[in-house]
This record gives sequence, structure tokens and C-alpha cells, in this order.
Amino acid sequence: MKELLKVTGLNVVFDTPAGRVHANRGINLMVNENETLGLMGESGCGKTVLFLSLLRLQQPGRIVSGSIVFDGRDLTKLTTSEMQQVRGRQIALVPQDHSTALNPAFTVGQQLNEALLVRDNGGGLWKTSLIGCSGRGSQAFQEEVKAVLGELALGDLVDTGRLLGRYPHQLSGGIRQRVLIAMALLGHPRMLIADEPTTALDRASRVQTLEVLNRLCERMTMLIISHDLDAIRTTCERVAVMYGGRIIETGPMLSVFRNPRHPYTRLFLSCQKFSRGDVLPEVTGDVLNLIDFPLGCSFHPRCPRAMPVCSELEPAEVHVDDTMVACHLYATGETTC
Amino acid sequence: MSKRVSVGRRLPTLIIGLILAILLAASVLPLAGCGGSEESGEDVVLKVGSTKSYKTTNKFSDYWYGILSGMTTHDSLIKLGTDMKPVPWLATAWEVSADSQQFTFTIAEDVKWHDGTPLTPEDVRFSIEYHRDKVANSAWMKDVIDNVQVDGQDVILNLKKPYGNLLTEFMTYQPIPKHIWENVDDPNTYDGEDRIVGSGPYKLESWDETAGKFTFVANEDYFQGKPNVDKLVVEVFKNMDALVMALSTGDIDTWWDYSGEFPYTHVPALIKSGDIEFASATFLGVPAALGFNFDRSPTDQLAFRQAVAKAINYTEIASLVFYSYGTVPTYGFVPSTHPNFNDSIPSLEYDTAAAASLLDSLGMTDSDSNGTRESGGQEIVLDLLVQNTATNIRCSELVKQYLEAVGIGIHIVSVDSSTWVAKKDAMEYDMVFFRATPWGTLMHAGEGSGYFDSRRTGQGVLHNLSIQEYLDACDARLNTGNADEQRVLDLQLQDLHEEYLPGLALVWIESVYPYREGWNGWVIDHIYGGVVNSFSWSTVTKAGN
Amino acid sequence: MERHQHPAAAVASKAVRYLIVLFVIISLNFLLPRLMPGDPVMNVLGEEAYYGSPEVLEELKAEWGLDGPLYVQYFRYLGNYLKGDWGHSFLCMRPVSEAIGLHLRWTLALVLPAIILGALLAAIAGALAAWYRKSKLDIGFSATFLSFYSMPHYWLAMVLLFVFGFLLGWFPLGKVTSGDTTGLAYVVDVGWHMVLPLGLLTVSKAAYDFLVVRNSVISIYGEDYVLMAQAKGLSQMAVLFKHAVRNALAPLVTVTAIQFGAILSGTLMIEIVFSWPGMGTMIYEAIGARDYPVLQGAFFIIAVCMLVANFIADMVYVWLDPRTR
Repeated sequence: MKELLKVTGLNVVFDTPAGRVHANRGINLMVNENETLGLMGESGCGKTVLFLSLLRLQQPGRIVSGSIVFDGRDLTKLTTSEMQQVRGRQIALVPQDHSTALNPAFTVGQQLNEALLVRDNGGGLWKTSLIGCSGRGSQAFQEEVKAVLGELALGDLVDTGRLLGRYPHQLSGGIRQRVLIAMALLGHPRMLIADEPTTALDRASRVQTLEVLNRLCERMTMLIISHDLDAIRTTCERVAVMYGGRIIETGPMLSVFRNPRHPYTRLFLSCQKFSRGDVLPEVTGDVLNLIDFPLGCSFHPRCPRAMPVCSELEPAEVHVDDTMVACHLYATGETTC
Repeated sequence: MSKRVSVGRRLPTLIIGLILAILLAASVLPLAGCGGSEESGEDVVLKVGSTKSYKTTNKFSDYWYGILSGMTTHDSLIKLGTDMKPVPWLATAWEVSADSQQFTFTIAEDVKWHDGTPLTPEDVRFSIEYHRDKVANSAWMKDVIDNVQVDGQDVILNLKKPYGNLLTEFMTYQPIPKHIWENVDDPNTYDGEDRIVGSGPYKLESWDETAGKFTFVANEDYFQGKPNVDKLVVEVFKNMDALVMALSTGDIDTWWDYSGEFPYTHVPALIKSGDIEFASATFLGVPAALGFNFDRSPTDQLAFRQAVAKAINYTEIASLVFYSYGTVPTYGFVPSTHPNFNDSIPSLEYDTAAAASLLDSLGMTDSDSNGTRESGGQEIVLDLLVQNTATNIRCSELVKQYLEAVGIGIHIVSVDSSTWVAKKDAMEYDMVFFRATPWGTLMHAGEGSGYFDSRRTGQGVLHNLSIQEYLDACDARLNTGNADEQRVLDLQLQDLHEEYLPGLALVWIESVYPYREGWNGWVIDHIYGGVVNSFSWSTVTKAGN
Repeated sequence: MERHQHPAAAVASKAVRYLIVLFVIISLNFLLPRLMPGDPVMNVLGEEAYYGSPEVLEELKAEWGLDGPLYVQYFRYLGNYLKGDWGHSFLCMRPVSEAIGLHLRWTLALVLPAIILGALLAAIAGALAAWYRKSKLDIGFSATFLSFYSMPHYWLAMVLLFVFGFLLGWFPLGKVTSGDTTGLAYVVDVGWHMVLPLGLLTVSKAAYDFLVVRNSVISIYGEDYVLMAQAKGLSQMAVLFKHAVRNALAPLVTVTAIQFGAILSGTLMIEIVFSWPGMGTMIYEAIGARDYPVLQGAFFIIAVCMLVANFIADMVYVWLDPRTR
């Protein structure tokens, strides 16, 4: 298996009036070609900053160190225009909230067409504005959109021509979500980042979206951010769990789900099981303040199995069987941090 | 991250560049537009700047065009010479009967209207009747003129009553061609193209309202000979500053305003620019004057008015408000260049002690020592009605200071011109600020009497003095056409101004008239505003032409 | 509520509202100048009218429609307005419609381009300042526009005239044309005369709108679709001007519609400095002379322009935000 994305030691900070926020702290993450990785964690753990950093859209946050190697190139070293080439065409994003992610002022057709224009002509202002704003686009565009919509199981459900003329507010949530997926796919990306793809949907749409994701992960590399365990279980081969701006456990999905090593993972998964993955449950204790870190493991104030060392030393990542865990429970004595 | 910013800034830079480029291109435009504006031929072109508001080329309905046309396209029977005596114009001679009831004008021969038709005594007769019957502001003629006869080249006016000021009045009336106007019932709304036809030294070639530009061309067949200036252009500006800049850059050669003063504030800059020369003359009117309400107390008391007269620092007004172009007036109101000026009348004097003792003698004392005198237990605080122009406001603030210094409280009521007229006519004031135009001081019985005679009405006049002695003097002056009798009465009227003090001239001024270097031979006209006037057309020359 | 109306009903109700507004304006128009001090007859005929007999004055009053009780004058006035007869201007000595037409033409020639260019300038500068918030560009733009905003316009006009007209001699010292050109040369000539006043009006409008656009774009900055547009691979400028600005324009449109009336009559100072024959000077002179017909006509036409501007703004809203359809 070939590594497509490898994040090493990524640190992202936000300078706020209240102080410096360490949103990502030494993230190490790897995604293989054609693999689907699930990224889990509670709100504020740094998931969003992580995937935005992959697209270098984490502003006003700054990447202070680390590398994001995608297909052999370090994205942190690319110029703005080179990075634009990566977005949409190499790494595409399916955002979480379908109700706000589409521009209310343009028709679905205009926005899909734009994705296509970006792929073919680049993302400049003239090239995306002067030509092809009509929304219906060329014959080839129509065909391509039809094909993609077909793949998303929308081909039969809606009349493509009518759909393209519609504005986002005129569509249902499920359809909007799939329009967003279609928009991402039209760029022919090598990797798809899906942010909470099932969260904001009703049950029926959720099932359909999961089917679509399932089919997609057969043929492309995906990074799915979710706390919907069903979604992760049905689509992902490997999972990573984030807490306090760090990846605290990563490994094959089944291995982690069946035998979570990190106390946080265990707690997280048990909570999720009870709630059937609809809403994020509260893990006991306060949500982490990313400005004033506790010394040592960031989870230790809430950890049921905290040891004295946990409040003194930040645990290093260690291999335990087929997973990687950052926890003193599994420390072998030597530390890397 | 730093790269994102640097690349993103490229576009703003581009936009700024684009704006600069447009600005540059725009700045080249004038060069393209200006290329052909070199004066062609040998024509002498005089460009006059004006800030007046011109609306139409109907001399009856447009006040300012009416005055302009009186100097250019139209002639009057006689004009007021620079020595303040009537000089012949369309009328080569005139005669006034002993009882001042018959006026005879002998009309020049070989005068032609601009359309080639001869100007006849019949045209003159028609014009007088037309003004009398159809022109609202000439309605006074109905009361005065009984009939008009033509006898050869003579036009004879028979009056209903003696009217000594008729000659002066007629200086502002210009005959119009009978063949054009005889069928026009309402001169104000007549818009036929031939309404501009006159007999004067210039023909109106064009009036471009949007460009604000009159173009007059010399009348080759003018009966007094073709004027020196071949082409007269009047450029209209809406503000004095732009006009002065145009004067300085040479876009215009001189400035014209009927009875207006060229703002002294602009003089130093123009002198510095070097290409501008100045003519000057004593302004025939009174640019700032104080009037009293005889219907209200205490301004109805002569001693009080005299106290006011002594409380004012005239020298300071002359230097502060009129930039030292002013002089201290006399009690006689009208300035020394007036015909029959009465030089026995003393100058006004700033004497606060005398003012205070006059007020004391009236029983007006400051018994509560608050700085303001009381009369019958009432604080004396007087309303001073002022039109809100800069000069007026500045001047009235000074007057307020002076009067408060002697214990007279002043409340300045500053209003726009229409409200001023309304309040003034309703006598809603104790004292009022006003100005007298050159022509205004000559109207009625002359010597400014038109402003004070209580029987008068009009926008600018006070009609506040109803003392029989004064009214009789006015009537006597109006009833005589005899120069010697006129002289006696003129002197008497000025004496009466001193005696009754209906109004106080606050300052007399020297008017300045700028013109471009190279123009010579101007005649300075006291009435029509400096160097631009009917007399200059035949005398002015341009160096190099 | 309106969203659920039939489009025709919506237009009809809007038309009825506009008509009511117009009627109210016409009525106010009739009353206001008559409540002001000053006698119109005296103002029309000037000082010399006082020589006239009372009969003559009565005649003139009748001629100008100033005689009879107020309600008779009112109905006569309403009828004439409906007939398109706006009266005769005392001051301009011509029909009001003619006088207003002339001045309105030159005002619009100045105001319309100024509004469009000003809005455009504000949109571009405001969007860039918002996008590069707190950068030197933002600080530079904000400082520049704020200082323009706080400078008195007539003063700025004088400075422009002095520097570019007088010292440098690049532009004429005011006025609309030089007066002796035709055809293309005339257009160029007018354009040349327009540069300074137009530039000033544009900048002064842009100075205000700049802040509106900047704030509006900043508030849109965090919207998901803006992030999404970036994630699609669009360039910064495409994201900014296609996705962000489009949705930030509504406040600019509102402000422009409101400004329109004010700018139409409120360019008095600029008109005076540049000797521009616009509505401002005409209204000013008419107020001084109590020229009722001109004032009434001017206020009426300004009201109509305001309504038209509002109507256009409504249309533009709908175009800008399809959700309001």
C-alpha cells in the first residue's frame, strides 16, 4: 500500500486576545491510497483545524511546524497558487453543514459548473466568472453532472435539468448534501475529506448518504470526520481518535472498536454506543481548554485511570499490537517527548 | 503563510495601477481638447467673468440679462456720464420745460436695429408706451406720463405732473423695435428669437445656458461707430473663487458685476500674480448702512439715533470689514462722488463719551449695573435685522459690540433675503442693516431719499421717514427739472438726513476693478460696475492688436 | 409575508403604496412653501413691482394661480399636476418642467455615474480591505476613505479646483462645457469638464460606502460557503469578488437607494464650486426667491427619483438574494 498523505509533527496555533490556542499539537497521521480513515473526537478537539490545515485553510490559525506530505509534496511549502491547484483537484472537501455551504446567490448548476471550470481552467476570477455562469453549461457538462449524480443515486430521483436551475434554498437537505458531494467529485480529486457527512441529515437521507459514501470509498481515498460510529464502522478501514489537539490513538477500525486501548477512546466509544451516534455525549469532566494546558497528558484530569506520571509527562506515541497509542499505561519506559 | 499575503496583494496593486492609468489618461484629454482653441484671426476678444444668475435672453423677465443687454445690445436715450451728468446717446439732445411737465428728446438719425430696420422716433414713442402699459416694473409711468408725441426727429413726453427725475429714470430704459414687439402682449414670456434685437454696439450671437456663456459680436453698423472689441464673451461662474482663478490664469480678462464689489480678499493674490491691474473708483452706493424704525421706541427718538451714531467705530469697520478700502462717511448718507454732494455736512465721529451722555440725557441709565441701560425700568435690547451675507454678519457683529459697549443691548436677527424683505416691510425691527446700490441712491428724489421716504415701497427700501419737511423736499425735488433748483434741494435733502438721521452710512468704499494687463483705455463707470460699460467699448484697446 | 403573494399582487400592492406616497408628497409640496414667510408676488416681480397698483398685483396673482382660498388653489394645483402642467417658474421664466429638465439632466449626468463608480470603488476597496483585514492595505484604504469622509466636500472641491484646475491647469475651472464644440468634441469636452466634480462625488460616495461594504464583507468572511469556495480551489479574488461580495452587496444597495435623493439635491456646494447647472443650485435659488412652482416640481421629481431608486433597489435585492423571490 502506498502512502498518499502523511502528516508529521503538525503544530497549528491561533493567536487570540486571550492567548495562544494550540489547536493541533504534534499531529502524526497517515492515509494510504484508496484507504478510508475515520477521524473521531469530541467538539473542540482540533479535528476541524486538522482537516482545514490539510487544505491550508486554517486561517487565522498558523502552521508553526510539521509537514503535510501529499503525494510526495509537502503542502506546507507550496505557494498560494500551487495550493489552489491542490484544493478541489487533489483534495476535495464535503463540508458538514449543507444548509450553509452552498452559496445562496447562485444556482446549483452555476456552482457545479464552477467546480468543473476550476478543474479544467483553474480558479482565477475571470475564468470562473466570465465564462460558464449560466448554470446550464455545455452538453459535456450536463453529461458529466448527470453521470456523477447517477453515481450518487440522484440520477433517477430528480430531473437534472431542473435541479441545475434551482437555488440551494429550494432543495431538501439530503439533495443539498449530495450536490455538495457531487461538487467535490467533479474536481476528480484523489482524496475526499468528508466532515460529519451524516450529522445534519434526517434518517432516510443519512442511510442514503452512507450508501453513497460506502460506494465511494471502494474507489478513492477518504478522510471521514465523524462521531457517528455507524458511519465510521461501515466505511472506514482505519480510525484515528483526537483529544486535546493530539491524535491519541490510531489503528485498524475493528481493532480500535473492539479493543480500545486509550482510556479516552474507551470512554468515547462507550458513550457513543449508548446514544446510537446521534449526538455527541458528554464525557465527564470539563472540555479541555486549549490555551492553558495541564502539565502531562492533557486527558489526565478527566481520566479514570490517571497515574501520578500522567500529570507530569506528556505520553509518547507507542505501538501496541497493530495500533498506536499515546498513553502512559502502555509506556515501555522510554519517552520521546 | 507569508506567501499567501504577497500573492493576494497583486490584484490590489493592479487595481491601483489601473486607477492611476485612468487618471493619467484623463489628464491627457485636455491636451487633446485644447488643441484648437488658439484665437484665430485678428479679432479683439474680450472675455468678461460674471457670477450672476442668468436664466434667459429676455431682457424683460431676466433681471441680470436686462442689465447686461443695456450695456451691449440695447441703447438708452441718454446715459449717466462719468461726471454724473446726463450725456446724449440715442437722443442727441433733450429739453425740459420750465414746469418740468414736458420732456423733448431729439433722436439720432441713421440708427438701425440689428435686423437692418431703421430706428425711428416712432419706435421710441412705442417703447415708452409699451413700458408704461405692459412692463410691470415701469408701472410708475402710468402715474406720470400722459401722452407721447412724435414730431420729426423729436419725441415729446407730456406729463400729468411735474417729474424732475425723469431724465435719471430714462437712463435705464432702452427702446425696443416696434415691428417686433407691437404684437407681443406679455413681454415676460415672449420667446421669439428676435427678442434680442436691439440697436446697441453688440449683437448677441449666442447664449449657451449649460456652458454659462454669452457671445456678443460687434455691430458693424453701429451709429456711434463699430466698437473696438470685436467679440465680447461673458463667462458665467457660480462662485467668485473660480472666477478669480480664471482671471489669474487668463481664461477671462476682467470681471463685471452691476453694483457689486469685487471681494477685497482676492486682491492681494491677484496683485501677486502680476498680470492683473486694478482700476478703482469711489462706490456710488453705500455698501453697509444702519436704518432705524421710527414706529418703535427708543429708535423714534432723535437723541437716541444720534447716540447710536456716536457709538460706532467707523474707522475700525472700514479697516476690518472693508480691508482699509473704506472711508468714514458723513451724516449726509451718500458718498462724495454724488452729484451735488453736500460738503458742509460733518463726518461721523466715534465718541463713546458723547454717546453715553446723550443716552444719560434720555434717562437711559444702567441702574442695576449689569452693563445694559434701562429705560422706564426695561432693559434696552434692540432687534437688529440683518440679511445673512458674510459682510453683513461681520459688520453687524461689530456694531453689536460697539452698542453694547455704551450699554445698548443688541439682538441680531439674521435671516435670508426674502425674510428680510418681509420683516422689513412689516416694520418688525428696531434697527436694520441694509445697503444702497448706486442706482438706488439716484432713484426717487436722489441722494438716497428713495430708501427713506415713507411713501415709497420696494424690496430694498426702508420707507421709515414720514416727516413732512422731508416729504415736501422730496416732492419739490421730483417736481423740478431745473438744475439750479435741483442743486439746492439735493443739498437740503442731505442736510435733512443729518437732521433726522433715518439711516446711517457705516462706510463708504473705494471699489476696485481688476483687468488683465495689456488692456488699456478703460472708462470707469460709477453706476454700471467699473471697467465694463458702454463707454469703454469705444475706448478700450488691447496691446498687440 | 410577501413571499407567499402572487407576483402580480405584490407588484400591485407596491404600486398602490408608491401612488399613496406620491399623493402625500404632492399635497405636502403644495402646503409647505405656502407656510413659509415671504410674498411670492413681490419676489417674482422684484423691487419694481411696488410701483404697481393693487389691481395689477391681483391680476398677477391670478395669472400665477396665487389667488383665491387655499383649498381652491390646492385643487387647481392637483388638477394641473395630473395634466403634467407643473406651472411656470417665476425665477427661470419658463415652464417648470423645462427648467427642471435642464437642471435634472446635468445633475443626473453627474450623479448617476458617481453613484455607480462610487459603489464600484467602494465595493472593490471595501472587499479588499475586509479580505486583508488589518493588513497595510486595509489600514491604508480605511485611513484614506475615512479622511475623505470627514473632509467637507466643498472644501475638497475648492482644493481640487485650485490644484488641478488652477495650479496644474489640467482641468477647466468649472462649468459643464466650453460652449463652442459639437459632436464628438462636445462629448470629450463635457467629459473633461466632468472629471473633477465626478471624481469628487465618486470618492465622497465611495468613502461612506467603503465602510458599509467592508463591514458587510467581514460579516460574510466566516460563512461556510466562502470557506467552501476556497476549498473548491478558487483563487482568493474569485472567492472574494464572486462569492463574498455578491452576498455582501445588499447593505450597499440600501445605502445607495437612500443616498440617491440626498445626492440629487445635495450637491449644491459642489455645483457652486464647479459652476455646474444642477438641481442643487436651482433649488437653492428657488428657495431664496420663494419660487413655489420650481420648488414643488423639484421636490416632486426628487420624490419620483427616490421611488424609482427604491424600486430598482428592490429589484436588485431579488437578483442578489434569490431567497427573497
